[in-house]
Amino acid sequence: MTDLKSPAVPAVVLRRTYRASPQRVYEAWTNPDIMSRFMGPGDTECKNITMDVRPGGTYSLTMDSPEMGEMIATGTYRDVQPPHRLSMTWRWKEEDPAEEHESLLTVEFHDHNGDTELVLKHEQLASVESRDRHEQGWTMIVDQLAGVF
Amino acid sequence: MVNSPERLDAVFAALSDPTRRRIVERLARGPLTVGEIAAEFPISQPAISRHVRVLEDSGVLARHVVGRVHHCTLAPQAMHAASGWIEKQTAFWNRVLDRLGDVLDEPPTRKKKRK
Repeated sequence: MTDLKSPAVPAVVLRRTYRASPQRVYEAWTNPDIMSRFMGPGDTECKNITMDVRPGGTYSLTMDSPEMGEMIATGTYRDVQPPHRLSMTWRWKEEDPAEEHESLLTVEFHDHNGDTELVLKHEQLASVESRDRHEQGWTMIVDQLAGVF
Repeated sequence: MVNSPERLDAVFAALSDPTRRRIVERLARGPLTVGEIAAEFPISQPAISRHVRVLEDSGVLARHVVGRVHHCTLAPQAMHAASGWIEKQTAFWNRVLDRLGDVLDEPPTRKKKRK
């Protein structure tokens, strides 16, 4: 029953193609001025962005929304390959650090004849180290089943 | 309570096993007894019973005992909590990526100050 201690939580995987070069899309993710313009979804404002984009470097950003107030996300860059790939740990700050949960965010930028296919993967796992032990792919099953009910 | 993190952990853990996922898929088509589930899988009845218990403990499966027969059905609330959680995460990143599209479509003139 070890799996009850380290639950396999599904990965969120999204793909989007932009009519912009991988360099421009990569820059959007590594330039605080540009990031502040897209990272706050809806009426959320993304501010106080700091980033040290290199393996082992850290970042911090504040999401300020009318409903939730200010929430701070921080993490450490794991893999930095301009303009192809960025991976970083991701955690929402909590008042009690013991409640914080670290996940892994990976963004890849694939060149398709000058356009860029962005692949975003957010793995919300019990620990980053445990992810390789877990089988994924049941996100679809949950979705299919949700449709059954 | 249905949406508590502990409940979600238990649901995700229960669904992390391929045999248990197949049991859930099978039950999505209709209720079965534990005996009928065991007959459909090439593993021992005690093993099936263990899987059924994990699913039951997570809230994914409901068991009704009639005499000596254990009837299993899916409990939709737990699955809804799990799929709702996934949808929330997905919605957040979808909105971020939509906004990124808007930002990239803007002519890159405002940023010329930068050396």
